[in-house]
Amino acid sequence: MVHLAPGDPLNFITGEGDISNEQLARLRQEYGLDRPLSTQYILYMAKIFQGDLGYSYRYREPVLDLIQDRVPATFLLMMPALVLFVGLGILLGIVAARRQNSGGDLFLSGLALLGWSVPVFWLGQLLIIACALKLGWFPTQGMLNLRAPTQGMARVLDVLWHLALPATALGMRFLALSTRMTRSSMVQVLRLDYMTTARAKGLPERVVLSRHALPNALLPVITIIGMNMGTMLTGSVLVEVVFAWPGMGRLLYDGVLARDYPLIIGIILIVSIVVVAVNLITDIVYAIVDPRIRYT
Amino acid sequence: MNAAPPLLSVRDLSIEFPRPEDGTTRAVEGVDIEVDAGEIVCLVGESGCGKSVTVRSLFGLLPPPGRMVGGRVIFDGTDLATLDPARLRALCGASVGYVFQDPMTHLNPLLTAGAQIAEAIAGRPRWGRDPEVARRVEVLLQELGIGDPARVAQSYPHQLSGGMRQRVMIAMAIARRPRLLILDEPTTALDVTIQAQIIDLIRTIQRQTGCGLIFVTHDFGLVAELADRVYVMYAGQMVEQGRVEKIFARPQHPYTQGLIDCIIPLGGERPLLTIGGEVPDLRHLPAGCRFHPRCPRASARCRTELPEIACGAEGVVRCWHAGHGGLSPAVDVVGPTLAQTGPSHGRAAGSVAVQIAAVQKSFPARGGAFGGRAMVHAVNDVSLDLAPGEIFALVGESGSGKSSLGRLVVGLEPTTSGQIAIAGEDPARRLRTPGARPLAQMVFQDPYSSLNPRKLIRHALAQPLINHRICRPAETEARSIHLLDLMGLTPGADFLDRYPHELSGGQRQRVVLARALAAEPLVLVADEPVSSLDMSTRAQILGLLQRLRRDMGLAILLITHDLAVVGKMADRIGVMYLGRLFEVGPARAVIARPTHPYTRMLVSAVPVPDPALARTRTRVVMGGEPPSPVHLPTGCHLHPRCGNATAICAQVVPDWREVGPGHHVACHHHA
Amino acid sequence: MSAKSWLRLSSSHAAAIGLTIVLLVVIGGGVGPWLTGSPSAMDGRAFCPPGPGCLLGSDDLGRDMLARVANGARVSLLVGVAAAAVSAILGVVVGALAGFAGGRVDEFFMRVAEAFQIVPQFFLAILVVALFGPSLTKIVLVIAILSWPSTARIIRAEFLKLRDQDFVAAARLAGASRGALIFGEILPNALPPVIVNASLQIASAILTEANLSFLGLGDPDQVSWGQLLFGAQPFLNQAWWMAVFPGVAILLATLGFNLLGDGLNDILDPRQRGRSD
Repeated sequence: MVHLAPGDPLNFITGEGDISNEQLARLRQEYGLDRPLSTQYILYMAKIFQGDLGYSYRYREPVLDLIQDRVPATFLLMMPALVLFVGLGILLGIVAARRQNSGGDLFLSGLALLGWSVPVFWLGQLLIIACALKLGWFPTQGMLNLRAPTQGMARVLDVLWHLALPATALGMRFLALSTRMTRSSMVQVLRLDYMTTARAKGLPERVVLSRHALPNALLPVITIIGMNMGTMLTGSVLVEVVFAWPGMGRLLYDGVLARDYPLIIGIILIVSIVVVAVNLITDIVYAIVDPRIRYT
Repeated sequence: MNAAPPLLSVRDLSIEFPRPEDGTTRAVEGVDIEVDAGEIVCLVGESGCGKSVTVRSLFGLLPPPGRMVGGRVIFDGTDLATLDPARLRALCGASVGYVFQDPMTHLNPLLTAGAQIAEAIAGRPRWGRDPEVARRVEVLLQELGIGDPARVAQSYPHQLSGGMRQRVMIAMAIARRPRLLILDEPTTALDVTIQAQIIDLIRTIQRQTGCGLIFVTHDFGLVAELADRVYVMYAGQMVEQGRVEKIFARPQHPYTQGLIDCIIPLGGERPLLTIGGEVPDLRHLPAGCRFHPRCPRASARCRTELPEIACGAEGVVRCWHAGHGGLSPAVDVVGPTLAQTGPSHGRAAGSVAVQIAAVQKSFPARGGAFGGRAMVHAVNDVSLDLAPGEIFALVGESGSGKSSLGRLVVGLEPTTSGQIAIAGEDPARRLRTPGARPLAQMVFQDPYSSLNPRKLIRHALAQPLINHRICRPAETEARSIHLLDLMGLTPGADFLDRYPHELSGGQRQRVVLARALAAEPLVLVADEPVSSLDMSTRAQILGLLQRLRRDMGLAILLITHDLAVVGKMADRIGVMYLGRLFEVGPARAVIARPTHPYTRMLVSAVPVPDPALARTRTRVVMGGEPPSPVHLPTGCHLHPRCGNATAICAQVVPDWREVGPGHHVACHHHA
Repeated sequence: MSAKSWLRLSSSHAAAIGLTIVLLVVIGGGVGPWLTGSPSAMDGRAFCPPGPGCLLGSDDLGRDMLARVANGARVSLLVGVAAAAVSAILGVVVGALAGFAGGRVDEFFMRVAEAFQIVPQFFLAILVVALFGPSLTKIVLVIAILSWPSTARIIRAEFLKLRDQDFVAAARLAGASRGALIFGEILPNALPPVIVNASLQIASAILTEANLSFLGLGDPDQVSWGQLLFGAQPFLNQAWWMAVFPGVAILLATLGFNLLGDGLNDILDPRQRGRSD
């Protein structure tokens, strides 16, 4: 299937320079491109099952090694979005739901809708223009200040300083998503009959909310966040491109530009596995928390 | 009468619901209530009269945006207005216990019953497992007559039956021995038999703890069973108040009188009565007395001047024309009941309308854990004949398979084994044959879901007329109008271009009836046709059914759980339990002399609308609830619950025996 | 009761605002290019800042940003609406089949839908476009094929719920054929959530197209908003307007469709619809 695409990967490997036909043939043999397509495919699948994702045409390194090098950066970028922004979103959602239809609720809901509608990469561009270029508070690109290398604590601070803008760009969408979901879920739960029961038992309002409303309201939020793992990784690719963040997304982008198919497929494979795993974990968590669901 | 100050005293209570778009609705206005310690007070009225809102507002449980805008609540000597919200909340659970209508939605689905009761015992959340609390939970459940308290405590709400859930609710309410118990329609969502168990339980609890009790209900029958004192509410106002014996013997307000007259007693010759009209919309209250549009005593004064609630010689009542023996708003809409007219119209001797022979129906249990191999045995070996023009009533608890049998008779489902024949033909096959006129039609329980919300009434009526070629397309409209007129929706033409949501429940049920008749069936299956309607509307629909049978010779299979309705309507009755018939016979004979232990229990569970009688009679009580129709008991299906059961009951399915003319019973031990 | 009415009021506000924004964008895309001229005419100064003459500035080749943004509206809206429409049709057909037939058919289709939902859609889109080359049709089809499952699941759930309703049984007793049951009785009642979902999916498709274009995987022959932003990335330092205005356009369009969807949801949600009032 890969080979139906226009362009020959070898064109990229060899670049624009002159190359003899013998050399081309040797390269084809080296990369296995001389064999029939079906054989290539079977060999490729067999290797995948052995944990071998093949060689990158462009970097001339095993794809798995390339990905392994980049995973920590992507992980670092996603953590604040997942923990900080989702947590904040849940909080804001609760606040909005408790004051349903008040001015504050309208403001928060509107903001969340705005956050959900904004393209992630454009938000990144705006942040660069405003906070990096105009105000000069943050660096525009990369993960480390290459001109003045630092060590120890200073290095950590340097990374965090570089992280601030891309993490915000990525996290905003999840802040918006978790605020929206928590609010609507909480609004529904607060209307349910067992809230009255909990109050009639004499439980203080704080307990009614934390023990009876919140767990029930958060159940669908867990699922939605889990289901949006793919969206999160999508956002990560775009943000990494905007901020030249040396993660998996940037690697994918370079792969796309270079038609480095083993690399593209390898990354997508890894991403798919992560997404499927996260969905599975979400389902399991859901089944543990909700007694109405039992897997047999 | 009592020197001691009342436990609860409510003065001039008013509640408002602000509506941004069209002003504020006053849901409750100027209500006074007093409850003495150890007294059972019933708050009664049709739906929409403000009963629930009233009791919820007392201790700050009003759902937003409702708010109390006037009045004083004095509980146990404390003016509740002086308490801050936290102190008021602390009273809940400790001094006041609440039980609500639907126990499923009122329990938190994520917590075990035990955890929720433990919370109520402690008045604060219990996270860990405290053996002392767990023990107290089990003791409490045991007090409520639960045989296996440990299992119930560890169960989640969805794993419990309706009756068990309501017991859990009651356990939470009485956990800290409150001085006042407030029960808001606690049995409305339950079967009559379970209702009887819960009412007994409530009475026992009240006797043992000596607490004051407010019981909110729309069912005047239950009032007779329970109340010491009665408050009658109408359209947000109190209209009458008094001791229960007096209210029943000499009701002063026409509304009270009408409600009592509308009770359908078990047996007796009284016709079905109904109060015309409906409770007014609180946004468009009539001027003057709020009841005057439905009141036969209404005078010019009633139309302009709202009477005050006043204490007279005959009691406390809000009416210009109060007094016992005045005109009652309850009127006979039906004409002579069928018991007097007899079922024999157009009936040829020995002819059969519906023949049900050894019918079984089972289907895969939904969400079965093991690949759907578990089967629900809904109908088990039922044989039955219906004569033309006969009303046959099928009664039983929910889950007894009576609705499944009804769907088999109209042909919506094929039988698993056995035959059903209407005029010699299989109704299911007939329904599958394109263009063939169906043999039977159906009226469903919920008139809200039996009409397509997106289609006009015109469409609902035209569909059978056109599909079954009942009349020429040009005549469809005239025919539809005629049918609506026949059902009392006059003028019918006004209803054709309305959507279902523009009609009231009773009107919708008439449309459903009209649609069923449009197909000109031989048999009508009416599945709980009135149980979702207000008390005052029920008799109107039942009356229509009687007229249809009388005038058209229609055979009617009436599926219901309400034995009082059966006594008024049916020629014959069949008692069903777990898909099997237990007793079949003439309706009056079976109700007067129930023979099967299960029928005896059913009959005795019906509330008696006479306070004196209700308290002195002995009830046949049967513990437990029907088991799941997935795992049927061996032998006689009733044996695990039956007090008379012996060894043979667990092994052998009892044979039918005749105990009277046409009266058959399947029991090993019939008396 | 009154909370319900309040909600309906405020929700119809949301729908009204959403609809207004959507109409503005549609009119801008429809009439704009006609007024502003060709998006590829290089008749101005390069990197002209916004001001009189060129309202939204000009790009690195001296092309007028206003003309380009207005033309972008056409492409982006086309992709959004077309993708959402194809996906809705696909979803309704599959969902209705699964929901009405039930049993094995249902199980099969739902497994397929699950598989589609669980794979990271955007990455698959990247793969497909990278392999087969970018074109507007392909992008529309890829987005549609990857987003139908949500519609299918909604329709299926509605069908399963409605199939057992009494009015469907009543229609059977009134002699309705299978087709009449599906199209006359069930489908009209199942459509409201699909309409809501379609509105949200237009927004999401516009975003996906922008994302793809930003990675250089857009149709090179078409000027979409995403492509304008892709072109702006190297010049963030020199020409902020190249990035700001196309982005605002995307934001407006997605916000409009999202608002419309939310508003419709509140209006059509049966939980907020009174039974008798």
